Amino acid sequence: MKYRIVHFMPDFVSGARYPIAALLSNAEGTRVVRSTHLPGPSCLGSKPRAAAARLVLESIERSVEFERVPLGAGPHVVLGEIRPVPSAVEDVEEWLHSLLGPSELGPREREERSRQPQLRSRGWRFFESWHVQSYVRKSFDPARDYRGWLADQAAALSSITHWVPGRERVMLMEPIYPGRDSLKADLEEVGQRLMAYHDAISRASSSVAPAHKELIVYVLKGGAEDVRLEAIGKLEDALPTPEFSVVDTSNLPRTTSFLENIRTIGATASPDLFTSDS
Amino acid sequence: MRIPYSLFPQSIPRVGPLVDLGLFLPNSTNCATAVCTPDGREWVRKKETDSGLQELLAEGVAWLFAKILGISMPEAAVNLSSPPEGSSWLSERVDAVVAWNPASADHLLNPGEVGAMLTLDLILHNQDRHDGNLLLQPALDDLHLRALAIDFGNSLVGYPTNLDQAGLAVPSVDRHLRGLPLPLLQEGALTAARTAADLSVQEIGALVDDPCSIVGYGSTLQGTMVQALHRRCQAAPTLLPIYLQRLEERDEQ
Repeated sequence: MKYRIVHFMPDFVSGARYPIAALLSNAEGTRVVRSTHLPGPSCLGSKPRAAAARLVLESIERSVEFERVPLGAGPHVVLGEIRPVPSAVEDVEEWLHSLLGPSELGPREREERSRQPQLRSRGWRFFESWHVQSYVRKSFDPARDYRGWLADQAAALSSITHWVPGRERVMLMEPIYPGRDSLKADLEEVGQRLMAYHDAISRASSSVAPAHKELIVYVLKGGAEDVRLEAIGKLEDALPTPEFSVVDTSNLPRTTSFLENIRTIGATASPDLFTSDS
Repeated sequence: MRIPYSLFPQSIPRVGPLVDLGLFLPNSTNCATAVCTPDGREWVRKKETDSGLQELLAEGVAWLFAKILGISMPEAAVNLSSPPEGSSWLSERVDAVVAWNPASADHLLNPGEVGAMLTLDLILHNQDRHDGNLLLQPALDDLHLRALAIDFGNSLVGYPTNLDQAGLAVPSVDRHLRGLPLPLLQEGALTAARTAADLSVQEIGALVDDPCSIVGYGSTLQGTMVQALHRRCQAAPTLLPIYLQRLEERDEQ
């Protein structure tokens, strides 16, 4: 078994290198062991550099190679020497983590990490990029939005991250980003939230309810391919059609149809369907 | 009103002397090294002796075309050294960039420019648009990324006679990077194609004059290049849908 450290090198002149991961190779193949904490803006000198370090790591995980830097990793990646894992090491991952830096985050790192894009921001950026943000509302409040159609059930419901109001239809949408450390918890939370809405919708008897309600999870691009496929599989098992939809945004035809739906439904919205701050 | 193209750069800046930083760059398939100039600027250097005159020519022509078509590229320069080292193409180091990753496709701030880059690849017959040749630069966070095109060195335009013989052939997409948000790029690509189609023979001649003089190409080869480029520029709005269609079909495979 052998390993090598993956360094992030922000500039050529200083040559400073920051360990961000390790590549571990054995008979089964090569895998990436992430550093518990990536260097932040205060360490690398700027927010864009810290963001670049995060993106580099994602690229390396996408196309794992041991012998050379993957073509898609970019110019800031330098691989350390290939070394054997000492035979006395029992827990290789733990040992590699100890090489990559302290496992506990300092106060500044905790603060920097909390400033990284949140799930709702990632989802909103997707809608911005595809120019449908004017149809999408942030945070569906079950007590007030869509004329309070779910107000009777609101006590048992938390808000929905994004939604699209229409004259007769409503889309309630939750984002999932497979690259998040908290993916497992995110999947559980989103699944439970949408199931709760499904139950509430089936019980609601309001005369102002939309004729068609769509409960949607949209899975953003990113994360290792096997992880995202597994996440999509779990969602489709837990949230079956036709009651729910899982949209894989890396599938262009599916995404095109999803966006067209947003435009079609959103174009029929009127201001009385949403509260001003949603 | 049409922008007078004489307002755009028609020559490539010269810089020197160079200080070698002793660093071969990761991902380099053609011996790119890191150098700096006395003013402290850092550059990625490709030596004529490693990559050939054709690559230097292709880079120069592409860089000047990119200015007109509105494509973000790193600043560039040439270092005219004497033999045996030869001249070098220099592309300024851009801070905090990563290579193209389809996972970032929904975070582009300048999709139109990426579309224009595809148009330029089409015109120059560049088949070398892999992940490493489209850089992404975070603007504060990793959800807002500016794309920069690099490395047109393997374009057929570096070989004027071959480009001429290629006629209106569309570049192969077999090794093209995957996952571009093509619907978001189309408008920028078409605008660039129309801009290119509007260029006269004289304007194209003025654009390629400096790169041709750097590599010592005479009037015959330069004339061949101008005619070939003019034909391809004029056909760009027609060829572009074919090229984009092939990219879309390849991504669906």
